[in-house]
Amino acid sequence: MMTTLTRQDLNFGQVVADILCEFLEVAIHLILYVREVYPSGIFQKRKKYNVPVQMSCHPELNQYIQDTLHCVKPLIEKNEAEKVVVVIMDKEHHPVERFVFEISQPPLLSISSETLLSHVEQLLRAVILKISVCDAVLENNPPGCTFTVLVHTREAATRNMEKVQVIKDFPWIVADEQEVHMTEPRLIPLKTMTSDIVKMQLYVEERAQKAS
Amino acid sequence: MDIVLHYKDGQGRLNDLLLATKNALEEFPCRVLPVFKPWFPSGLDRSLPIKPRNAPPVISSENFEEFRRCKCQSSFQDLVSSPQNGDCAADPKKIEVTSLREAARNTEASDRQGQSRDASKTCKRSWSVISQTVKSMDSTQSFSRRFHKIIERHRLHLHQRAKWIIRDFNCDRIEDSWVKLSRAISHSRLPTCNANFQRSLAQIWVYCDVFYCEYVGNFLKQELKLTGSIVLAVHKLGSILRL
Repeated sequence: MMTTLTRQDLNFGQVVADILCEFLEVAIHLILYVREVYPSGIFQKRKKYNVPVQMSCHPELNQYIQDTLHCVKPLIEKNEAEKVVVVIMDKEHHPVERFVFEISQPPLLSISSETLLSHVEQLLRAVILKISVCDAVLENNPPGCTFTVLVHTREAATRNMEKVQVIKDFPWIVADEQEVHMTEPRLIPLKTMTSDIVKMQLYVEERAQKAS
Repeated sequence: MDIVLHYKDGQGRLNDLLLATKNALEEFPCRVLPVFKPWFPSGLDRSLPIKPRNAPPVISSENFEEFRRCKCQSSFQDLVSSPQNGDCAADPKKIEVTSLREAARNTEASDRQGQSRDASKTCKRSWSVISQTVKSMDSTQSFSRRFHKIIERHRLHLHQRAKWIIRDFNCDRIEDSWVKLSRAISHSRLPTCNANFQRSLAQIWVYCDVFYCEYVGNFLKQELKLTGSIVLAVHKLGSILRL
């Protein structure tokens, strides 16, 4: 049975935000594993979307990722997040890789429970599989890399500050320009997905000269 | 290129006209405009994204070794004395016996390897024992207005599990607090509670149903004589309350 809903319908935004944040959590863990930002020993193999994924079991890191996504959720819920970017930075805090998740949500939706449960899951699974093999098309990162999560909003960043300050001890700031811009990046498209509830494309921007 | 100049008589001297024509044919000077730099806010704020101010944790090789050791230890303890662990859950005494036996065995093994320091750590219990005799609590227990708002805001279910985090700076000696807490739980003074001592983090995690959270929090603060604030965390939401 098909039902037409608008974004204003009760809980719809929340459903999309739940699905996306859950996906982003899995994706971030996997990126950190595949790109060797953390020692592989802190990761454990789990199953999500019916495929094997690597999830960190380090409590501090897990809490950090959870807190980040918990703050991003209200923006996704209101369709105000345009891009969520996982930036891997070298020791000097210059980006070497940017995993860009471009998100767009249609204003009118035709959804059924079947669509939500199986089709979207299949699409997300395909994105996860692409992330798990992306090291084949990327150069090795220099040692000592760290990461951050950037959120590009549809409106001015400062206008969205209040919305993301959900957790008291987890403040948000406007990113530095040096963390955002990369000189002569190489663009590597990984996957696009189009479903009734969300459209997403994932690509990587890779710095041409990684060894600084 | 030939240029023909048409002129009428009486429009001045021919030399002047030729000079004017020559000037007109000279190359038009082009001035290079400077790059436009707006003095007003350029919309940079709009294009820049936002990010968490806190940096993610750095896991150095030393931290990693420590983490690996703790992980092995906790997985061992989970296996031995987790309340969800089959038959052991039904019989608290059995947990203790099994746990001690396993710990003793572990101590022997560790001694053999000359790691007596690590062995003494594994002897310490990290999971609380839950008493099977459940004291009935007042079913009409009420929340404070503040906690009620938190429940509504986060749409928490009353039987959802939440976690109070006691840090070492909340108590004089965290080991003493752990002993008191374990005793209180085993005497059924803390409904729906079980607790876990995260020695590697110097934290005690006290799990309970949301319904009893506030009661448990106040109990912990008073009975364990905790100083500073303790944090209530819920899975996925993170910390939701400080008491």
